[in-house]
Amino acid sequence: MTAASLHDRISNIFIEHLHIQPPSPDTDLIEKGMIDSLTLVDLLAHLEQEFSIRIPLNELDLNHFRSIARISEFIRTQISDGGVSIASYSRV
Amino acid sequence: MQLIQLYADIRANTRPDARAVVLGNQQLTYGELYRFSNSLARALKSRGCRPGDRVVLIVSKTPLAIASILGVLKAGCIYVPLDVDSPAVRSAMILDNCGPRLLLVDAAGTKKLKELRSHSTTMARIPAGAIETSGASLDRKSFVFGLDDILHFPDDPIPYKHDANDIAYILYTSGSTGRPKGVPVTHANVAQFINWATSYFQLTPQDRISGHPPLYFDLSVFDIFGSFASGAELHLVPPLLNLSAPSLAAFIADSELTQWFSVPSALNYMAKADTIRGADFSKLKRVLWCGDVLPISTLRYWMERLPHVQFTNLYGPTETTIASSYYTLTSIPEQNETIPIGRSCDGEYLLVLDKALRPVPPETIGELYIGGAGLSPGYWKDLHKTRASFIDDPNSSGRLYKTGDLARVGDDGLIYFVGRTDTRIKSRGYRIELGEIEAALNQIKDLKESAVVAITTSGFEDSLICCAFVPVEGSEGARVSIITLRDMLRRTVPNYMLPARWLSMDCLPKNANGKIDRSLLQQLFRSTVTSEPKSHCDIQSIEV
Repeated sequence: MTAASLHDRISNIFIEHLHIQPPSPDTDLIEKGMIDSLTLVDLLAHLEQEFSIRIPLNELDLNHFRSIARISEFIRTQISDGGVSIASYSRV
Repeated sequence: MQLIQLYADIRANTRPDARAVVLGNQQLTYGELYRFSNSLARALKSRGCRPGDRVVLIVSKTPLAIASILGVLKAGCIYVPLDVDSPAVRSAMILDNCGPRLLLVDAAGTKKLKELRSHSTTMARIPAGAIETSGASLDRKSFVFGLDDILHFPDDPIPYKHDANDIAYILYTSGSTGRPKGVPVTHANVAQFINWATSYFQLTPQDRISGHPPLYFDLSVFDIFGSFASGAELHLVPPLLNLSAPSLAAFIADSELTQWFSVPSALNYMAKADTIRGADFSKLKRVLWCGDVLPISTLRYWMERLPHVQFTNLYGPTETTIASSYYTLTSIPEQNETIPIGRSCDGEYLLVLDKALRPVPPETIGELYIGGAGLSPGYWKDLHKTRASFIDDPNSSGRLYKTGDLARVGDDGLIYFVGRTDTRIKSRGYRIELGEIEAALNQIKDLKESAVVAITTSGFEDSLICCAFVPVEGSEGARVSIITLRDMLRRTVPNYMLPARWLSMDCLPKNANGKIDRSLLQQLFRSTVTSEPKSHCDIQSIEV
């Protein structure tokens, strides 16, 4: 998967599900106040769904989710390794 | 002793070098708290602050901010903490209502101050003092004093003229008409709770207490003054940790906390991420929560793993000061059990009454009223709302606060929370009037109509805010996008009030009386987004 298409798919999650205009890839989402605890959980769930991965919550490193570029990087390296995942919780 | 700034002063005399407040590598001892707050009180007085004046804090939760609270109280003034992340429009309403004499600002609050001052000319006239930055590096037009100016004032104690019935702080809560309501709380109100709590929880100078809630939540008042009353260490929890359950758990372990007190969502987050596994919570003695119902599965998770810890549910609205009732678990509850809000704290009483204000029989649902020493004098500059919520107790000479909460008295004599009489909800501990969000949506011209409902979830939060709306059709059928809508709403309401689910409709469903059918909307949001709409109005689209 190219970096551009990864960016597009992540941006799409922001538009379609979080209803946030995606910022430039390097914008710090946390510093800009675009992500709070509720949106983060939503974002993780949609990333899991979109990329068929599991993000172990008990090993969550916020630095992987600070910007769209960082998220892309994380998705690329992500290997499914069990642990507690957002998708295992019932969602609305 | 009823003036709450004196708790810390007593400790400053006996153990001046003991740590009082800690945040990362920033810390203040009781002696430092004492000296800084004395100097700040003088700086405030020198700038015309008189007893009863409001001083608004535009600050992050830091040791210096806590010291500033004490300084404001020592000047006989009332502290009003502002949510720095709230939109300027909302902050301006709060400032308009409380009419501050002065603003205290730290480095993080400077941007907010600029935003507020450009927002209104009234705001531009209110002087500001900087608590973190030295006067030399400050724009003298914007600030009347800086940190070095404060420290220039003598730090010996100043005489007090105020008494325990004076107001210590005003906190603002969501108002259904779109205007936040100010809840003033007196020194005596706070002291009543602190004196009960420090004795009930047996706090000692060896305690290391969490400071999790923001300063504009009254739970923080217990953390601060409970710590100072017992000479304990207050460990402020950086707000950023709320995004990461493992970081929260690591904070408890690394800070060797003996007491954790938060809204349920933080406990929930840590439980769902299974973060207790592997963390060293051996120092922890007490876990307390307030502000919302803690899911039983979360409570069981914590209790099963930490048998040495005492678990206590506290209950009470801002209007009756921090908490008015408590319930300490004696054993791990069954999955189908309901945890009571318990019995009243000393000096307070809880009554479950019917519409005629008569006590209801056991196991019958009524409305919860609170009386006693925690009752606020009434909403700040709002006699109308005060009269509606603070009523004369028909059975005594005192007053009662009408909570709007539904409750029942169990056969065990304990009180159980049942729900709300109105559309107020709790989300992550934030008290939200859905009407405030609707009032903000009504200002948006791109909408024909809109309605906000909450649905309960079994996920991280127990309430999810949902918005159904009918867009105005522009030229060539152009309609406002959800992104734009959310962005517009964000300029009026804080992030925690933004709906998480949106539904664009051709018209909103109405019931026989022509009112918006909110229960049908809740059903629509609850059902999967692809299901067949059940109303005569077709769902136009789920997402734009």
